[in-house]
Amino acid sequence: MVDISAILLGWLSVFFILTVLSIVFVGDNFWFDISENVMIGAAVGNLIVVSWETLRNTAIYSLFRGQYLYVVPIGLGLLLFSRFSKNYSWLGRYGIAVLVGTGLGITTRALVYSQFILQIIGTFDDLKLGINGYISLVMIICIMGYFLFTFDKPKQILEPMRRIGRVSMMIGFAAGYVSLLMSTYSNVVSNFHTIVDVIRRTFGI
Amino acid sequence: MKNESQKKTITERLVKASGAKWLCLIIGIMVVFFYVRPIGLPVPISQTTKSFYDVIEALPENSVVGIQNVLTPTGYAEQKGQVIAIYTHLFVRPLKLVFFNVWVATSPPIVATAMELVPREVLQKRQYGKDYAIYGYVAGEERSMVAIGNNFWDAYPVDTAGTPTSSIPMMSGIRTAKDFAVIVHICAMFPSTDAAIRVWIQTFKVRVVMAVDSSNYMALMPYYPAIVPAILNGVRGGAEYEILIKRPGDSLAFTDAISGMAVILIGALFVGNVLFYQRKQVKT
Repeated sequence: MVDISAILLGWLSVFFILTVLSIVFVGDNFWFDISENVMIGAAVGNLIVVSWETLRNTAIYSLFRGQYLYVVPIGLGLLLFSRFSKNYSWLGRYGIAVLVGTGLGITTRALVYSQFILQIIGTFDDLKLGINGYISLVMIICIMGYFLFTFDKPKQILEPMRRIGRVSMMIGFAAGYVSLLMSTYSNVVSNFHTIVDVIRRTFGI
Repeated sequence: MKNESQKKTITERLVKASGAKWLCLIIGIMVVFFYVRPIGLPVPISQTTKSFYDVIEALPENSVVGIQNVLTPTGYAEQKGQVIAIYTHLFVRPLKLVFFNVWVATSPPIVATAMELVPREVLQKRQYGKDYAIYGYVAGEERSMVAIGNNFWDAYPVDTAGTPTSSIPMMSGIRTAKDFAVIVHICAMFPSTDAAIRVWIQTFKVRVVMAVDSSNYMALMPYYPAIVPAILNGVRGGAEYEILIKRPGDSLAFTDAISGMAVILIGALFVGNVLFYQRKQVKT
């Protein structure tokens, strides 16, 4: 049996895909603006609903079940709205201070180990993979050599190191750029695929 | 008075400069062509994908798996295939699954959509509350991950349907990060992968496997395999995973078009470089 609601939703998504892509072919236009505004509206609407659900399911639910300490975060959250008043805007700083403070504390606690030492462990562990691991290690050492600014000698060693380091970095940047491009193209392919799929489902091709 | 070029929006100028019109047309034609006449290019299984499959397959019966979703509508266009393949594989295996969402508020509706695409015959064999539970979104980014790891019940007092966590049977033994055998981190947001390493691997010492889009894959490679034992890479990873679980889906359907796109990309890069050196020679 044909699912009418699924087909209607499919055509709605086709409409938005085509109107968004229209900017590529005819420039800024009325239909593109409509899609843009619908997307922003939907995103904000979703954010409000999800935020309210989060607040209800965590803080308010727990508060009504006798966990009165939740008054503190709810109060600090409400203080953020004092930014709308000129006289009381300073109160909002307490909420922001807690947000920034806890965020920084949690991040910095594991930052050095996870993003520095774990990467070094990972690099040396790659040596198990054979020749690729050794090439990768040489490239990393040469890249580090490129950033040695404080001394310039012995030139016979540092110069070739820096050259290899520069080439290694260029390879890295190129690979990163291509990954990003492929990711974007995958999105575009996926959207075109949606159009073809909706047409196929509607007409039973 | 503004001249003609100033009147144009930034997007318009960018689009005009990049020749996006032609790229879009080529992609469109290629997708239709490969859809009508798929050539079935071979999809070799990469080691990162094989490791992902092996990690899930090696989990003992009734192991608890946390599925941490950080899904956005733009990222989902690329990750749809891999998300459905991972969910399907997890539901096929006799595991206890806990789905939860952090970092972006767009994740819960996408998880609900993806769940509908898991084959009925697979999902029907699993019972909600006994084999799996679905939780909503908790704000606070990295802070929320720490809260979940410290005390899951406090971070999520109720599931998406409003059922208290205390009355969900399978949740009775799941309190902290230590109760998870593995966390499957599915995301298209780079800061969340870093945070997952910091929180789950470094702070709570939980094993994490990741399914990411192509742009994040490169950044994760230094952690593979010593720190992050398995990574799925965008559409390609999804297609490989669909082959491994023997359920062809969305990602495999895209593969021909993506491969064709890669060939065009290499050609475009080659032409770009040739033009660059030609201009450089003319200047000198």
